[in-house]
Amino acid sequence: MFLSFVYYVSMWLNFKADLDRQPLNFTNMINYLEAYKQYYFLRMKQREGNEDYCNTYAAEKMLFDIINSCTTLEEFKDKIGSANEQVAMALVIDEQNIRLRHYEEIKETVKAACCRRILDKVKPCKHVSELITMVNEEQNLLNIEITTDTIYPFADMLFLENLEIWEQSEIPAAYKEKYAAYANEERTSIESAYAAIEKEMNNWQPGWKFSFEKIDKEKHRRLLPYSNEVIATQKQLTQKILHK
Amino acid sequence: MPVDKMIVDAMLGTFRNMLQECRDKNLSGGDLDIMASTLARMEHLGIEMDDTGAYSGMLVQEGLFMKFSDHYSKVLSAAAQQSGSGNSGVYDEAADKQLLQNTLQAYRDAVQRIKENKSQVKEKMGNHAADADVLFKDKIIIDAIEQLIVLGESGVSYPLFLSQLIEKGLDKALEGSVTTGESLQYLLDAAKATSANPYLIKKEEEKLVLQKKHAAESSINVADSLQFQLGCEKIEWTHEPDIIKWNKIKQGWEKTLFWLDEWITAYCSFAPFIEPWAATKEPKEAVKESQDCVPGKLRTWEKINNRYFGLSAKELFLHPSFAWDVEHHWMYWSQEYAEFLVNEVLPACIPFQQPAANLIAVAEKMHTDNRKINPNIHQPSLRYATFFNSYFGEGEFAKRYGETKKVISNAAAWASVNF
Repeated sequence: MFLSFVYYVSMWLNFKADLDRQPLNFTNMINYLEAYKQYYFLRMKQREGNEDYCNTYAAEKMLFDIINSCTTLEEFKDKIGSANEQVAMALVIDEQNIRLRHYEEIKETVKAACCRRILDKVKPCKHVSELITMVNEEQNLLNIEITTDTIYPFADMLFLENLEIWEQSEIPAAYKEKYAAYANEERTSIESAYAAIEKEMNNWQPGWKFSFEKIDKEKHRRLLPYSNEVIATQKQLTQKILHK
Repeated sequence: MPVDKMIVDAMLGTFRNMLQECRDKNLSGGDLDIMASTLARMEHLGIEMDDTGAYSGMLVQEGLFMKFSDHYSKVLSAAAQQSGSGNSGVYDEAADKQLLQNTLQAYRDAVQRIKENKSQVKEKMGNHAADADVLFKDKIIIDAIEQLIVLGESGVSYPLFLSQLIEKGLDKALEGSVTTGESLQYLLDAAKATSANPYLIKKEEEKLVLQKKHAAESSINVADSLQFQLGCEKIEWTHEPDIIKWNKIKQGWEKTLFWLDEWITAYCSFAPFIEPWAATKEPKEAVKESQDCVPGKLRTWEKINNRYFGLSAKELFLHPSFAWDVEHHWMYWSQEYAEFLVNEVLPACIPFQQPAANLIAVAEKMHTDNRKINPNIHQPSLRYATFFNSYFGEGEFAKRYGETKKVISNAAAWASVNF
């Protein structure tokens, strides 16, 4: 390990010395092979020692080892095979792993699931273009999933609060009928709000239905500043209004 | 009826330009055909559908944006490969120059596109076009790209050019320049000027600290874009529940104050002649309803908040959100009136009961003496104007939104909260 490091450094210093001696123009003969070796060496060194990018480093090292073993660029062209593709795939793997750890930590299950899908599909990709298409498709799907992963209007307790105020407030008998009518309007508003969200979400995901189970998912639950009892009661009441 | 043309144009404009750009360069092939048919599908849906929400949903569902961009990349990549392989297949000086030129041309096109986009934004902003120079930090990204172009034009070979991108960190500068310390400072200053709640300020402070930390770790003072993006998501994630709870408790005391004011004012002799009652069909009946029903509604509201947060109506006012709003001049009511409502009217506001005559007398006097409203209620607007002018020019806030008028109130300014 130490020897290889010494080798890289000495190679780098020699290369730098060459550059320093030569004005940067095409009137001097350029050793393209050495210049490309230097380039791939730098790419590899960028990732060295970074655990987050261990796959990328390994792929870059493989690529550097290939060019470093060549005596001509033509030889490199023959030997390179899919090494460049493997670097791209390794980079996608490393970045998706970084994202996955982050989303698992904050329990963003939808985004974490997208990372897992991408990670599962990277290896079967044969070309970079296939890889790009796959990542784009998954991100497109993720956008739809993020949009449809909603518990609105449940998250807004205003409807149920108003209903409770119209129905439960102690008021003189003369106003009872009027307040009962307000309560009915509120029920209609609740039904309309849930129907509207279903209509809107069906634009993104045909067949989408409001899910009461979703409310208890950590991602949504942590944003409702109420006790479990309050949530359970409000859930039950909403289901009753919606006849669900 | 088709989707509004303006909306379709805004959504598809970039894609039309991209297709035209390829045609102008005489590019062709299967990928270009797919680009054209994908755009045609997007245009067709715009004519066939009538709801904007459904239209954008369908574009995403069918993956049309993604499909178009995917094939656009393939068209460009094929064109680049073609122009780079116009030699014998041997990598020589000519091939090297060609590769470098292709790369530099792509950067030049990118600069052009950024400038064009900004010009379009400026056109849309009309009289406020100069704002775009404050809000869009395109100079930073253009400078970074132009550095690359200068380097590429200096006579270096392609591999040396690529090596220097890495050595000088110019590749990272391109990635990271979208989020600059300057734009984060703008957001922090805006949050402080607004001072809606402490978490919104804290969030922006933390993002700026994060950006500085990551930038300091980099040799070229640019934060790693992925690390920074995820770090910002975590900051948002951390504070979101606190913001929601803060706002909900604030809603609790705001509504309580609103009803206390409605109830006690409804007993004042002038009630039928002032809003909200004067605006109703039967002001006297409306006044009577406020007198009769507000206490019941208030106590139900108290029950709701007690169930949510274990706080009585009075305890809601001890939450830091109340002191925050007082300190930052968001409180609509004056201190003496708010104290009167909370300390004296609230205990009396009970279903089927009426306030004592002395309470009504105090409320009437405060109203006629014009002492109910916070004399500093205009301060948030002044505070925001100071921030706005510091970015967009002295006097700009007043020019656009009018002068901030000081409220006419004979009440003393808030000193402290005494509940």
